[in-house]
Amino acid sequence: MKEIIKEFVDGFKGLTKDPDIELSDKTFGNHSSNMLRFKIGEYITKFVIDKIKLGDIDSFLKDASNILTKTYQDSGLSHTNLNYFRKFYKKYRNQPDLAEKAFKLSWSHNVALLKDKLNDDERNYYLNRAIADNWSVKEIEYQIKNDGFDSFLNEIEQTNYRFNIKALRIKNYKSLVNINITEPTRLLVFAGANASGKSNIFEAVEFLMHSAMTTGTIAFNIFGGVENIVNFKALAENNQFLEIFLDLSFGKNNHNIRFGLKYDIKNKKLIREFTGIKELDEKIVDSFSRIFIDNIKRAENKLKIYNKLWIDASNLSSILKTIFKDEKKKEEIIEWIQILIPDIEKVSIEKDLSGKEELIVYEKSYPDKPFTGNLISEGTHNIIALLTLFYQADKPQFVCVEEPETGLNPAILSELIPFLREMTEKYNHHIWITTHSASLVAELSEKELIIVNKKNGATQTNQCKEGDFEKMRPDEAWLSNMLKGGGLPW
Amino acid sequence: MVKVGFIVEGTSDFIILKSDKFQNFLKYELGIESGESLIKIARSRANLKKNFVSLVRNLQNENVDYIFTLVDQDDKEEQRKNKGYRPPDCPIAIVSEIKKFRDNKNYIFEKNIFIIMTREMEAWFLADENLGINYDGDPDIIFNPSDIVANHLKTKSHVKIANRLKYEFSLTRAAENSKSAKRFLNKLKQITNQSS
Repeated sequence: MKEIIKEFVDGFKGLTKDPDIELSDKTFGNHSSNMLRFKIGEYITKFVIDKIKLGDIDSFLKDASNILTKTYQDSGLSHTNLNYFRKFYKKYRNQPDLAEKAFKLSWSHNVALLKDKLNDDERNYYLNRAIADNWSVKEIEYQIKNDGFDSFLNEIEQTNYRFNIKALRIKNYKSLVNINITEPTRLLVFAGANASGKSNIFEAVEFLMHSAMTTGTIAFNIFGGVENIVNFKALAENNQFLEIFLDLSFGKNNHNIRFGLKYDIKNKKLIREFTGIKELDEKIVDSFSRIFIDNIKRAENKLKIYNKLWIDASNLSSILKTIFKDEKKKEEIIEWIQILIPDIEKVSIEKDLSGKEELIVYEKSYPDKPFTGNLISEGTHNIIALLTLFYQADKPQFVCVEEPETGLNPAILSELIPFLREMTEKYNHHIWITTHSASLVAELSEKELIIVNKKNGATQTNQCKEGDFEKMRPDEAWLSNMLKGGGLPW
Repeated sequence: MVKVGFIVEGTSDFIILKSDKFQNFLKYELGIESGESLIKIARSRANLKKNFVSLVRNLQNENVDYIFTLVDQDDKEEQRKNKGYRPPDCPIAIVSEIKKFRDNKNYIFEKNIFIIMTREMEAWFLADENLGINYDGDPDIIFNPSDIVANHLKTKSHVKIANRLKYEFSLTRAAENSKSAKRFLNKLKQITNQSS
């Protein structure tokens, strides 16, 4: 063994012209020090291959390191480092481009990048970012730990799918005689008296999506027939159009898309219109959801897409099960549930005796007696359904939620707005909600609120402007009849 | 035409003032322009005080010429008995507070703000003989007129009371028997005379 180590140390001397090996980034700069480390890594690897009967490589390197450290009086030749040199060589030997990048970084940076099992793409990404953004060693470790590369891929994916709603225009859909919503904020709340037509706005968008996904005039049948959908007056006048148009702008380049429909009431002809795209792609259809939790009535006859939450959230368990396969999403969802309902320990999807998947809620107080089915409180169920809705897709969503306040404590409702805002910022969702809750409205800024009212059978919308609250609490301003359009029952 | 805004305490006052009957009375008999959007609801006396400046500013943005604030006097005896009684609940304190706001030139320069104290608007319902509600005494002094009206109509809902009476109630008739109603009516007449 001693001979082998001697041979190893002798060979080591030939690696550099200098009699001293000084592995200091400070003295020689990252590049030349790293080149030498790479060379040493190569030498060790090749030496090990040649001396195949070496036996335990690790203890061989330990002995070799002892002698090398004494010979060269350099702590950079520790046993751990020799092992890292091997790895360094192994990772970059077939990737000269990547090696060049790695040579630019300090040795501690490189060690951080060697620690984890990264594939070439991942390593390339972290190298690029570390160089371009001057990442510290800690930052590299943090990014790897938190799957920075995955987030980067998601970001690319999201950029393609990220959209802004520019405008929604509806004419003659039920009570919506002429509605224009322009430049809405990502979180948009519709408040108004009962039967003022709030839901019709969401339904009109849903109708537009359904008509895009179906052929002919099937969508009319799904939604209850032409006579129930077209505005009563417009139907009687018989010379008008039902129109729904959505203006979107996609991606970084603001690719503008208008898509919509026009129904000629007199000639009973439905025309689908697209501007900026040849046909409606999955980008748009996949992005829309309308939810009215537990409202079975509204879910009747609607198209049910297997991998999306249905309008009444009746397929909650199966969707949540899919989401829970993603550990990161699961963690985030459970954290939110625990914030909003502190007594909940965890939530899971398990099979019941008949093999049907069921939502199970564990409370901190009764960890052995989980709640299922009807035993889960209305509010808990609603919160879980809402979270499922926002986490069900990786792409930005346009989500219309009706009355999310059902069964929720006012304090939770105050927290719901920051939660929804976070969802819009983090995942680029557009979240539109209808509400009757003052606690919910209390947390809004002017631009996030639309007052809906009905005059002579026609729904009207008023987007609030900055200053409209006159320094009052938003809910007080609303209930004091301070906002244009009123939005009050009496 | 004079444009007038109102600040009221509760929903039933709001329903009466915005009713077609009252709005037509203002428009055609007094020459006053108003409307539902010009009636603000404070929703409680404490809120009236807290939000008074905001409510007034909101009406000023609508370019009203005059603002009427209707403050309920309520039943002081009852309030004293109530342990929760505190100065912000006291109508006199509120009136003097909002008078301070009104008269403070640095705060609200608007001089055309009138404060009308009523027992409760329900006292005006008593005072309107056509409504045929039985009571003893002066409607402006009688305790809890809303209870009497509620008993008469056999309902606990103030909104229901207001909705039932909004087609029949007449401020002119109420002014015959109620001093506060008369003050309100006279002030409304006065501002139209001033402007014409």
